[in-house]
Amino acid sequence: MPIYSKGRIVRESLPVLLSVLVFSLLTGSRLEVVGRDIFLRVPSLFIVLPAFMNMAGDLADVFCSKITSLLHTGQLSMNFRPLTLWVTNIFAVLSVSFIGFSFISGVTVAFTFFASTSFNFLRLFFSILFSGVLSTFLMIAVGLVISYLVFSRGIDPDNFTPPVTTTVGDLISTSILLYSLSLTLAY
Amino acid sequence: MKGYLGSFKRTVFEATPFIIFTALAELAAGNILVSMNRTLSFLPGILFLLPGLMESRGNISTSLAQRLGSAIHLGLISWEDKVNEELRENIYATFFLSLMVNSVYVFLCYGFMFFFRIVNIGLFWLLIISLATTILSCLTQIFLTVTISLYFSYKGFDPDNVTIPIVATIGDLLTVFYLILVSSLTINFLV
Repeated sequence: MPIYSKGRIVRESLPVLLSVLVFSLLTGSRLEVVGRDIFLRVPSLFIVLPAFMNMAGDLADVFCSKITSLLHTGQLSMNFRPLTLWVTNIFAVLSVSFIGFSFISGVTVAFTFFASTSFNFLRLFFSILFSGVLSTFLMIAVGLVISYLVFSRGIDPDNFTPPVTTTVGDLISTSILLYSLSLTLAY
Repeated sequence: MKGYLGSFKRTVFEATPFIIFTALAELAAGNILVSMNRTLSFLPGILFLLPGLMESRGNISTSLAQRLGSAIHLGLISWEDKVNEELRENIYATFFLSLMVNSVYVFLCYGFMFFFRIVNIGLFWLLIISLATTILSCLTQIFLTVTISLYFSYKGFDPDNVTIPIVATIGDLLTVFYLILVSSLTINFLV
């Protein structure tokens, strides 16, 4: 008799997988409704999409994983003490976000440069960079609230936070990126 | 204060290379997407499928990698055993979950597009493209996940540290590649 059974795996996984589909659906609708025109106008911007969608979620996961470890080990308390430790972690993740999104923006601008000549590349660079750092900041806030709420109810945030931050992260980051790109293309 | 500065530096120096490496792989996936321009104009509604396919593939294959890691540590599966019953149950469950979740996603997408009157290629073709992409990417992903987990543990590595980053990075590349491939083939039937 095997320890793993397909029935049990499906029974335990299916509810979470189906419930996070709602966020994927909203992200898909943003892409189809807003993104289609943008990508048809400047196809080279497609290059930024998967990297952008994943990076904000990854950074939020890094932040949440650090915060939950600190909460579990008692180095951080539920009343936000010591405050310096919170601020240090927030600034550290935002710094990584700044470096990572600068890299993505640079590569996207380089590709767009080779594909199109009539484009304000500086504006494109800063629009992607700003959208990325803003998405990370919002995702940190979402991850923090979820970790806190879950931890205060005695549930392990490690089991709950990653799927939620990843899928909500896709929605937030895609919406901000598309809005920012549509503004950049409009001017 | 010195301790906090150390913690700040450590986070930045340890996380940045990993984030850049992941971004490089994702930019490669984006590069494949650039060729989607023609597909987009012929197959409206395809962009709707992208986040769901990528997200469910990531969630399902990461869970498989985690379960395989635990099974290897518990001695239930190994490189020498090849495909035993424990491994088969995991493979069947992963395949079934992928088909199930992505089929539900297509129906949700179609319902959403129908309700909001968003132009699309119709439920039949959306389902065909989604299922073909799912089957191809799922089979490749399962094969890679199982091989990487078993091989690295056989070589003395902890599969928990190795499998998930590799699987997560190549997974998006696979999904995007197969979606483009299947969509391009579909255009021949529709145009």
